[in-house]
Order: sequence, then structure tokens, then C-alpha cells
Amino acid sequence: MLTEEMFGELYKRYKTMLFRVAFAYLGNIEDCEDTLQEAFVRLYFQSPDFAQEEDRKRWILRVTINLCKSNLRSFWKKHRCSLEDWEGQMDFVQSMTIEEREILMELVSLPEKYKSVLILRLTGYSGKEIAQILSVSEAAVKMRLKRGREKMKSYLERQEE
Amino acid sequence: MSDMMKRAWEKVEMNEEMDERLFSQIKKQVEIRDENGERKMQMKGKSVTRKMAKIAAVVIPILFGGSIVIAMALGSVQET
Repeated sequence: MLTEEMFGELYKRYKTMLFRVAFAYLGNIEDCEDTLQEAFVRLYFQSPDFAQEEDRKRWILRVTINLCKSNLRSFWKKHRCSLEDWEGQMDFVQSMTIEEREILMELVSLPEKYKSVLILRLTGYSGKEIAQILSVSEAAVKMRLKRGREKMKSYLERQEE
Repeated sequence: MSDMMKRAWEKVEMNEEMDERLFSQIKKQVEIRDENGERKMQMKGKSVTRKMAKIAAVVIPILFGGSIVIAMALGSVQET
């Protein structure tokens, strides 16, 4: 069982990573907040004892991804926001260039299977690690990364035209 | 992965207000657990309120519409 002090440290350590993951999946701030709340509560009450901190990191990542997926499947899921909505809702959008906003919107709009591997790649994981986290084969990860990048690339090319 | 994508990714951060609100909501839930360390409260403050609002947004119009249909049906029965 985690102490409150340890939990506070873990919150500080993982909040940004998990927020980025949840935001890329869900695309709106309210769902992100709910998801992160549930993920951290599960970390406090349900996380097993881990031998290594990396195992805990992967566990909380998997929990967050699963919560995001179930949120997206939910009948009650909110519609994704437009760029205009993002500007009104989130401070970080103000610091982004128009191209950065658009590429982020494109990532949020990708089909889930491509998005999940790209998100984990952006989080810093290798193909092999992504395969372990998502419980899929390494070949599937490579294929999804390739197709995901192609989709993003074609979007960027369309923007440049 | 393009540099632009990475730059955009690194700019995604919650603001201070959301950070504080989120942490205090989590702490509230943690504090509410019982002495045995078991989770007592499954409800989640704001999100439950949102879900209830959504349910109400669907159920109330259905009930309202249903009552109108019944009233109209009763009216037509009376006329005949």
C-alpha cells in the first residue's frame, strides 16, 4: 500500500505523461480529468507491489489507456472538440503554432490502433516495449507505427499543398 | 516521428488550476476510504454529476414526450 507521501511523489512524476496520453486519446479536457482521477485512484488502491519503478509506470499507463478506450466506447462519450474549442479550454494551446495545433488534432483524430502506438512512441517507448504494453506482437506494432506515420504524413502533405 | 509532432506533444500540459483541482479530488477520494483500507466510495464527484446530467438530458425528454403521446391518445379516445 502506498503512503500519502509516496502517492504525492508518484502523482507529480506521472501527471504530465498521463495527461498527454489521455488528451491524445480523448481530445477534451473534461474526459481527461475524469480519466486521470480514476487512474490515480486505482494507482492508490489497486496497484500491486512492483519490483521496479518502470513496472509501475507501465501499469499506470496501461490503466490509463484502458480507461481511455472504455471512455471512447461509452455511449456517453463526448464529441471531440474543434481547434476553436481547444483554444478556449486549454492554456497550452496558446503556446502552440498553428501547425502544431493541427498536427495534434490529427493525432487525436487517428483511428485508435494507430494512435495508441504513436502515443507510446512519443512517450519514449521502443517497438518491443510498446508490444509488451499493448499485449500485441512486435510485428503488429511496426505495421501500425508505419501506417500511423503514413496517415500523419499524408495529412501534413495535404496541409502543405 | 516528426520534430513538429514531438514539439506539439511536449507542449501538452495541464494548467495549474486543473492540476490543483485534480489532486484535491483524488485526495478526497483517497481520504474517504474506510479504516480497513477498503474503497468505500465508488462515486466520483464531478464525473457522477456529469453522468447524471447526461442521463437526465435523455430521460426527461423521453418522459415528457411519452406523457404528451399518452395525453393525445387519451384525448382521441375521449373524442371517439
